[in-house]
Amino acid sequence: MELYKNIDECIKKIKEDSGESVDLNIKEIYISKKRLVSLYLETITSSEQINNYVLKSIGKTIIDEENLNFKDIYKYFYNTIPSGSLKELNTFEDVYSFLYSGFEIILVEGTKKGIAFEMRASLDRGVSIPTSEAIVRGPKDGFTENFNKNLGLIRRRIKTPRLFAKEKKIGRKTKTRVGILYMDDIVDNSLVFEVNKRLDKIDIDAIIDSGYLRELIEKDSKSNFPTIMSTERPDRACMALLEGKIVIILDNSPFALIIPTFFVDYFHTPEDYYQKSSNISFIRIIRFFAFLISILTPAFYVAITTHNQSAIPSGFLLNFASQRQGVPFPGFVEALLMMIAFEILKESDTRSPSVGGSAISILGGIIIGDAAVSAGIVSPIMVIVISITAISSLVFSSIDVVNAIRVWRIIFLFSAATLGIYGIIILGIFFIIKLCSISSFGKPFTFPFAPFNLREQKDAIIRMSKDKLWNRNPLTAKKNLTRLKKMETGDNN
Amino acid sequence: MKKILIILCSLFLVGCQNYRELNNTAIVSAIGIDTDDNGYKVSVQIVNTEKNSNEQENLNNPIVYSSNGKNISDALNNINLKSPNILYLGHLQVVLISEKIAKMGINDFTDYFLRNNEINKNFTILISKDNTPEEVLNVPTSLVNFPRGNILGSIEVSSTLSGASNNIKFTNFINDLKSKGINPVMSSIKIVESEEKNKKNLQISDMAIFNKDKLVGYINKDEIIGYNFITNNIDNTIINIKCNKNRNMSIKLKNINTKTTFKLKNNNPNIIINVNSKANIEETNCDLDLKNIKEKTESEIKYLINTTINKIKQNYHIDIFGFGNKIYQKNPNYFKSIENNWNEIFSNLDIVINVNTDIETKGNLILKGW
Repeated sequence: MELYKNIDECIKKIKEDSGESVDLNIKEIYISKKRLVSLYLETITSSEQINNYVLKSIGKTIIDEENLNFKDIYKYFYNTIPSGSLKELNTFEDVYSFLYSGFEIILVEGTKKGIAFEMRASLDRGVSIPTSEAIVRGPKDGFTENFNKNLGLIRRRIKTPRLFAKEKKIGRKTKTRVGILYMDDIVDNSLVFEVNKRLDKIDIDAIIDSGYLRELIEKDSKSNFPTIMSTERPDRACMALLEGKIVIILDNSPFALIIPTFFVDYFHTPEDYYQKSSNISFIRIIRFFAFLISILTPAFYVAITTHNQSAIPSGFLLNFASQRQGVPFPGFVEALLMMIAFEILKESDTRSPSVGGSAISILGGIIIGDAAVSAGIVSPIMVIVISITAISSLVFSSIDVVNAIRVWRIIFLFSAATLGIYGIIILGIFFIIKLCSISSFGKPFTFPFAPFNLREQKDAIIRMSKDKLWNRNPLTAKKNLTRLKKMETGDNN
Repeated sequence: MKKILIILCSLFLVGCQNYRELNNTAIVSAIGIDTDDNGYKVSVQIVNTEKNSNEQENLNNPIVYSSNGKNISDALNNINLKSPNILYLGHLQVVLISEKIAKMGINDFTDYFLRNNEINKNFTILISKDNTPEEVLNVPTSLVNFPRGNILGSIEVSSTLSGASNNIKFTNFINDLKSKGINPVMSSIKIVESEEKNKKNLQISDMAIFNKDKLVGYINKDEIIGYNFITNNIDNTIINIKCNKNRNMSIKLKNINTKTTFKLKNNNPNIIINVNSKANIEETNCDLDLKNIKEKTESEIKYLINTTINKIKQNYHIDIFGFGNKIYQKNPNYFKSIENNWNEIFSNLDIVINVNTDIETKGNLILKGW
């Protein structure tokens, strides 16, 4: 809808549409005989800047011409106002979209036109340490809620024009800025096309966090294993970009999305590439063990104590049997109770304010760990089993993986309670089939194990030294496959 | 849908569902079998899993239930009526049989142990010499956790360190029983008075010799070592050599390896036993010329083997060494022709024994003139 010629009507309509919001600031200014109206939202614009630059410069200069046309005024502002982006407005839609993005709007009487300057206030916190992905050695900066800052953190690491950053606005009400980043000289173009296609299909009123977006575009997976990784770390995002993956950053979300994500990626951390390869290989093997332990331990314990007693050495069996004496529940119920108790403890610890957090953990630890055992409700070995399980699952920084593991742990527990070790094996086969059937944006989730790729084993369960990792992942990188050029082998001494 | 149903049925309608809570399980560690007027008398030893019995005394006291029955399973069912928990035989470690039943023949009850799919067939089988199995099972043993571990431990130790006993497992026994040209043997156990007051201990004793499935006699410790030399069941042992009246020397043999071959000579079988080993001097106070040690050791080994063979030949006339089995494996047709009177042939068999021992470390610590 076009702006009215009469500026009073314009202001009346804007006031009506916004419900006379308290933060809408309207001021009338005169330049010679022309009446201008300055509009801005006090809450999301920097009033100081507007006062200092816009209003001051208007007041200072008097243009002595009778009939100023819009072009002159636009030119005048263009030259005098120190703002990078200056836009010409014609419609109310334009006015609103800029007004509510933190722009200062100046409407010019009798021209049906307005001008917008970017005068955003900074509402975000500074760059701080990422809380969800802790590392010991490596960069400590994390993404914030500011789109530009997030993009900047990546740009600071990859200084090439071939890092493409495309922007989309998604959300009918929120108009959230969604940035699609990729290395144009590495990426698989069909993947970019696919991501764009899926993003374009989204028609939702609001995108509050990247979690919204992930759920909407992650449609090729019915599994609870996440096929899109979210990360708070710019270095991880950069590594993904250099592998030919696509990174999506959002305004108002400190979590960037990495597309596609493989199963093995959840066993890797950015720190893996900052330390000696042999040490990291060891830790990675430990992570794989932790994965198995956290999924299978309760199920295995229940299986060997209720079905397959002959499968364990006599000493163990005797130990288990003497600990089970006097426990009123069957092993399966005991395991389930303890797992639920642990999940409640974990959830309450996450949600409670930090003031009460320590009290909860002490109380929970004492009650579950000690009092329940001495009261004879659970056996000590079950406390150990559940603790090992819980600790192992916390090896993974991604909360999505921890949640997926939890679901499978319970399913495995049920199968062990009904069929023993046989049930675990049956479900294990089903689990592997299920895992192998997942695809992340058309790429097999379990790469490089299924389909097997020998060359990529160098950076899967183990990590070889950097000079061996000369090639990029052939599944995601389609151009410029060489990461490391051969170094001079000559003697430098 | 039909296909899914078939797959689900094949997965879940299997015979592996044997749900059993540990609380309701009586873990049987040992079974004793004796005869009675009207059948078998079976005793089971159950592992004590009482949680509150922290004192060792309680844990050491074994729980033993006994009952009579027409056969093993009948007796076990009767025991199940007495026991508050269901007997679980999956961790059976020892089966004790009385001398009486061994003399009558043990073939009759082995069927139960072979047929029961819950039982691990690798348990140790022992004869309780002089005492009834129930008495042996009632002896409190010093190992806290698994009471019968004590017996097994002493068999294990003596068989690996000195070769003076054999840990005969049920499967080995059955194998020897069912094979041609070999007769089985079995270790025996007896109760001995302990130095402590009112305490009894268990001790591995002589080795029982079977003619097919019937007990015929025993061989003593030295003969067990000789037997183990011949059957290549020995790895280390210590032999004592007498130098003169009150001086002697201990030689430790290791890496003992025996190869038994057979030859046909004038249509008569000939057995050649080659024993190779390495040796160290363990202890000596002899004035012996060190050059003679090798010969002395070898002749001592030869003597051990010879006495064993001669005793078996003269007293029992049965082949417990498996020479017949060796012949059968090499030349089955020939063995079939002599199978029926193999025991007779065995008694007159020509056996050549070659012993070779390398003394690795020689040296006379006690120098002359000291």
